[in-house]
Amino acid sequence: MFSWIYANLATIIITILLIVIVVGIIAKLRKNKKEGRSACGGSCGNCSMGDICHKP
Amino acid sequence: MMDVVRKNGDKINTKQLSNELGVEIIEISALKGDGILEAAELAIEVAKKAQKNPQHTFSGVVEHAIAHIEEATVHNMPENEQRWYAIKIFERDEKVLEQLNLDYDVQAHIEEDIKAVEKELDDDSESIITNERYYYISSILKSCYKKKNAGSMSTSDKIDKVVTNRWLGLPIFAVVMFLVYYISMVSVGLAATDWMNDGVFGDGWHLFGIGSSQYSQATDAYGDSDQIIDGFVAKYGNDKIANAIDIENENYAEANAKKALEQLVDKTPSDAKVVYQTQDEETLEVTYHENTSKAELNSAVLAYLNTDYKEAYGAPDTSNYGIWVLGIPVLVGNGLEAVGAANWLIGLINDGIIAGVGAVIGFVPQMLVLFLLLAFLEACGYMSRIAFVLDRVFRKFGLSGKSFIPMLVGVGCGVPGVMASRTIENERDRRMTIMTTTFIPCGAKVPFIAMIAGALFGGSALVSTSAYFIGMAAIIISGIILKKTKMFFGEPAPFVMELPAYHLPTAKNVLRSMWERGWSFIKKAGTIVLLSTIFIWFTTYFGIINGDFRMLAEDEIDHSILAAVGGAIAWIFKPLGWGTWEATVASITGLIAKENIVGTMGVLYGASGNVYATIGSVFTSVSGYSFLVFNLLCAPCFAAIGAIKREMNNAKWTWFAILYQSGFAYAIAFMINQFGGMFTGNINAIGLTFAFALLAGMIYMMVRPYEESVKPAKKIKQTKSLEGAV
Repeated sequence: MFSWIYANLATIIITILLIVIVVGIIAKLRKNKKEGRSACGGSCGNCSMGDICHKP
Repeated sequence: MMDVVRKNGDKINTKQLSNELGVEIIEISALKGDGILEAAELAIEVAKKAQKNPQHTFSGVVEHAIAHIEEATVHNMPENEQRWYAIKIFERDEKVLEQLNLDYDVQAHIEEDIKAVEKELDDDSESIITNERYYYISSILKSCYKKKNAGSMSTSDKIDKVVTNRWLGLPIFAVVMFLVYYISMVSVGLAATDWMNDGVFGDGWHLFGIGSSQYSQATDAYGDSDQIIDGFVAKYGNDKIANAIDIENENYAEANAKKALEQLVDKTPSDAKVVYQTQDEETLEVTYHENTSKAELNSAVLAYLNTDYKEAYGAPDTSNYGIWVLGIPVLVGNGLEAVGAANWLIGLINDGIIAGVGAVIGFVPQMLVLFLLLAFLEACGYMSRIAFVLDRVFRKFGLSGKSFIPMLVGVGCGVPGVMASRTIENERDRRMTIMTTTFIPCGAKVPFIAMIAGALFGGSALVSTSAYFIGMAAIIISGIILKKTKMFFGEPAPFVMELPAYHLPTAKNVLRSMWERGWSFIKKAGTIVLLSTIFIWFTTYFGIINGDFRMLAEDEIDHSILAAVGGAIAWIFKPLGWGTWEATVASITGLIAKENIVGTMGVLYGASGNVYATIGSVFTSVSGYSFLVFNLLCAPCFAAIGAIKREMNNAKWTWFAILYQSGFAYAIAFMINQFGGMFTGNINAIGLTFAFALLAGMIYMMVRPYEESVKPAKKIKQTKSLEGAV
């Protein structure tokens, strides 16, 4: 068992890292959806006059 | 805008204006913030006082009709609201009529009054009110406004005379859009994208281009030497010779290679004639070179052994010229191999994630140039002129220029484009605009357009420009067809838009807009596209063979899970010319995000190492264009479908929109494939018959006259209490 883990250590670490990234992305997408943010970035920032209309 | 008035040297007599209008006047400039606080304070002060404002009087006939309407319909309302409602009824304002829910007899009675005025003044009621208001405004301005250059045109007016000209407006727009796509897709953008695709996400690149020209000179000098030697080894050599001269062989030694080549030359008869083959890296096209003589073998051997212009035997190595920077796939592949990662993981990261995400990220330079140019056109005031120019065209087809604003916003992203349709008051026009806005290619579709143009049309800017105009043609055709149905019948809403004077936009605004759009594109590649490529890779490289579920080799991916799923529905797209499981899967993943089409194709067609070449060998120019058009016009991504659902606020209408878009896309792509086949000699009699029938049906729907009988019966319900509405 340990010898198998040792032999495949790099694969295991990189796979765990990938899983963490994937879970992180899914969590971020879910959070954005809950906050009502569009996945496409469609916001006033997409308009060249955006900062003129929304001047503080 | 008093700053502009003063800058132009014009004079407004505010005292006189105040007298004419019967209210106090404060000069303000929103841009400079002058007078705004004073105006607000005065507004509060005035609101506290009860005062009677002077009332504008229309011409006799109009006042007569309004008085009739007041008496017949709104006499029981508060006195200060009666006139406003009467004018709105005179204008036949749909919202107000719906709100008042008048009896049929009363409506018929006042309609006679309105028609009598329209007949006398030879105009429709809405325009009569608008004109009279303009006359009133002009009469006031005459006494209080002095223009410095009255009668002469400003620079902006002079430009507008050409740009918004009845005949020149549209051709100028076509040329401008062609230039935008030419600069972003072909000239500046292509060089940067080639560097991203072939360098950063390819084998590597020469830092600052140092060494590139020496390398290309060396490869020119070396020519087809390797292929010539391979041709002679195949006919007169053996495995031992082949292994000895293979520079990638683990036991390679230059001395052995030299000996092996001497043996090959000795074994080759002096009158030998050999066929060797070469493959074009761009198109994967194989060319056979016949009657290659021994003299050519001798030259090839000399080139192989030559170390004057290259450091070692064999073909020139890129890393020996200038400073060679390895590409990301090479670096990551080397790193993963060095730490001993499993082959499936190397495959997932290199052939899945990097190939897929890299295919999308590779287009960032082109996208940035395109976004920069579009932001400039928007900010300088040209795009609002296009809305004006297109209003004339759209009006003829039953749409208003207001429909262009959502299209304009939709060039960046379909979601705000669909949301921008809220400005259209007429519900039928708004629904139609929502349904057709996503026909215009959004930013996410641009890499896909560039990929098809690059792989099948030599990167022609005409393909990108045509994608834009196909989107507009789809909107116009849909407009004509749908307007003749019961659901959408009605006059287009009038379009009033202020055209700002042309001005140079600030660099900050334009760059900010470019970056915002570009960054959201990059973020999406790092999230949705990355997840999709992992899914695509797993389902492509795992499958069941002989009852065993296992990882598949390159030549076994036809047995993959994805091939099974895609293959089951690929037949639907056979009449469009691209009924393969790979193209079907790419189209389906495009529903998650349109960038995914490129990412998926990067994974599915990347096995050969050259995605463009594989696409070029799988699609013809006709089937490729049909594939492009289908994906441009079909249902948009889920985010945009969500926006359609929110704006329609009705599940039936949302489904109708999605089905209409997909059906329309299918019909157009089908016709492109079938009619295109006529020119390429690939004719299918049954398909062509259906295509002609479809075309005839479409033309009939477009040219058939509007029928009054399709006018919808109005069902008006009381929705608000009159007290609450002003």
